[in-house]
Amino acid sequence: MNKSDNPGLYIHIPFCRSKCLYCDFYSVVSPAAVPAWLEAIQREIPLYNERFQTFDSLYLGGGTPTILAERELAALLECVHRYFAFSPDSEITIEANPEGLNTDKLKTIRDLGVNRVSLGVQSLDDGDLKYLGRRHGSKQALRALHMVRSCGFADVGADLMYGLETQSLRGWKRTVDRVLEFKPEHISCYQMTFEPGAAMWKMKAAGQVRPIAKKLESAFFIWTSRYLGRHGYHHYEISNFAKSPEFMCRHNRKYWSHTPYLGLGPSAHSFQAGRRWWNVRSVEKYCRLLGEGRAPVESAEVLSGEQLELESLLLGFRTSDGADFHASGGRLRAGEALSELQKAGLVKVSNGRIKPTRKGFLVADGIPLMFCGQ
Amino acid sequence: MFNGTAHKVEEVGVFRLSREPRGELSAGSVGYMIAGIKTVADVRIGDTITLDSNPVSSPLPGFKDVKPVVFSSIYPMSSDDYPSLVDSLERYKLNDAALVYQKDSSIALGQGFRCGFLGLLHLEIVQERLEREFDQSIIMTVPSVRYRFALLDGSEITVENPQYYPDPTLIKSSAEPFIKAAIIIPERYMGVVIKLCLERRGANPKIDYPTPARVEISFDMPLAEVVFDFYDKLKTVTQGYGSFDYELIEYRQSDLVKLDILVNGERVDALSLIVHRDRAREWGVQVCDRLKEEIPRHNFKIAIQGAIGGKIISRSTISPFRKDVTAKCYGGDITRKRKLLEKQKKGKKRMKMIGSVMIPQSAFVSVLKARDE
Repeated sequence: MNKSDNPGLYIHIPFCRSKCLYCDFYSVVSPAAVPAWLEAIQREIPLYNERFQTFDSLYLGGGTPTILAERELAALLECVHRYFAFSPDSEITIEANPEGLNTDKLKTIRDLGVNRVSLGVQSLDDGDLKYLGRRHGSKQALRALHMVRSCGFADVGADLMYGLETQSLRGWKRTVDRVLEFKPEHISCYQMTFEPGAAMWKMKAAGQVRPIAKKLESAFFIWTSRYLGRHGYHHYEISNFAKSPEFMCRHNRKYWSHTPYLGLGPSAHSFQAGRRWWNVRSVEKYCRLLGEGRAPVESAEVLSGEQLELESLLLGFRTSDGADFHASGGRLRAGEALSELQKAGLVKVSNGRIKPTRKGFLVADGIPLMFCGQ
Repeated sequence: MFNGTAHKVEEVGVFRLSREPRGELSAGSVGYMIAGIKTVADVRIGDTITLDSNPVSSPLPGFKDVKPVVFSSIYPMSSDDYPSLVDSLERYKLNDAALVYQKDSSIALGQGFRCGFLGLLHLEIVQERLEREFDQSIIMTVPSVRYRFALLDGSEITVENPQYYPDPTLIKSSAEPFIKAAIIIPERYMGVVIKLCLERRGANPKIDYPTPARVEISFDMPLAEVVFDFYDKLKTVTQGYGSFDYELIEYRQSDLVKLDILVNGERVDALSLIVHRDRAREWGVQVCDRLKEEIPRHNFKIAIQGAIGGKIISRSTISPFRKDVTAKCYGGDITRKRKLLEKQKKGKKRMKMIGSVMIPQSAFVSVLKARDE
């Protein structure tokens, strides 16, 4: 099932050539800051020396990790391996954007030990891509998919977005169909959301863009789940599909199951033994703190048993695994809430777990509340 | 002085209002007495005081024991505030002996009190004072009157709390208190006022013209029809010109039923009501609509029904969420999402659970708002 208790390592590479309009992840458009960041992260890595067990996943996310030059990536990974132990079968992912990719770079990345590429395709419709503020067109995205495959990556993921104003269900189907031709091992389908930190948030307030109707959102979601299901994909999390269970993203699943993870780089979050902490959301501050020999941690929280319980519900109901039928302390999560949810066809109980149905996924954020405070 | 008018002075004098102890008070005296009376309820206005050692056989004429005629249950807005409500009512009672109350409990609203009031004004005063002077936030249930039921076994019971409505198969006849309502209005409002009174089952109208352009209308009406929002309505339709007075006359036969409100099949006891059969449907429809507005959407469909016995007479449905899930959930999203849930969880504590449906307090209050015509 590609799930383990080993910790995962995340590295945030907060640089982009330009900001996409929908994106609220922390990144800056200043390539000049890369060397300082690289130096800083090489100081951050040793801080966690021997504080984690053997890792079995590494995720290079961003930002646009492939913006780094080959030697910069090499230096980064060399440092990672110097201080952290990885199991031999580790899943090592890099996020990549179609623009600026070439065979040489991909081969270098592969030779550095990266065995999984998550490609930010988003759409194969030029109108959608322009709407999203992407730098690439559909042809470039198709070429990139080809390229990744031809460079010998056996685990390729495509990131897509749906529910755009510019997109019809038919248009979305065209994108999905063309992506399916490549038989990616993994497909992420993110519904368009307007996040406070993204440019589109302001554009929405100004009336320049707007979300699609809730009814249509549900239709997109249900169609996607059914269609990819018919093509053999497992809908294992709200936005994630895997060709088979071993291709479920091992790293991301750690976030959803309270498995320890270490996040390095500006704005990265970490979790270990009931404690969560996160780094400052500024490259400048990040570099300065590490330059002073201090950890670039912005803040931390220690989760109470009740909070852990609540999180395991909120995370659990977003995955096909669902939540344990037994709450902490062995109490059964039964009662009227469960029977109402079952009656409404939102969850089913199997193998001692309460699992959301396809319809249940649609309202997953509201389900935990029904089980807490009973 | 300032307006330059002149008046002839008739008399000047001083007020004397101080206690002057005397050996005795006799016929014709107006005075006071001080005794070690511990509870205010022992003293009733108009009562007769007599010697313990040599009591008179009957009290002086004119005294009537005041009995509550309007009833309503008071619940604390949050069940944590129950002890403070107990305390407030005890203190309130010290200077208002007319309020009677006893413990009451509701599945929906928890512990509270069933209170009896002398009339509508009294009910409002109690509510206001509890809120203003005692800083209580309370929910009052729909006011009720005291109904009489003659049962098939020949016994008669009185019921002022819908919870104790007898088994309908055992009821031989039912009766409710009627009042004589006297309404004085400018002539131009006659039409709307008569319409209002007829809607409220008014009968036997009498119309008088005490002065030109002024009309006094009197109606026999069931008390139950005026305890709720009659006065507000009257003021509205007469643009504030109407005045209203009433006196209880008698109990009259009436076809009474108990209307229950069901949320997903579960009875919300605090919303049950004894009502005239002809008025039940209207009330049921209105409560269902009100609750539909107030109860938030859930993950499942919610049916709100008004029922008499097993018969459904009104219904509204709250459709479930269509979609309520966000796309992403990584690193920082988790803490954010949990905090949001924690906030919602707190909100949930202020809600009342009926089965698995969360009903906000505001829903109970909204039912009490004046009905739309």
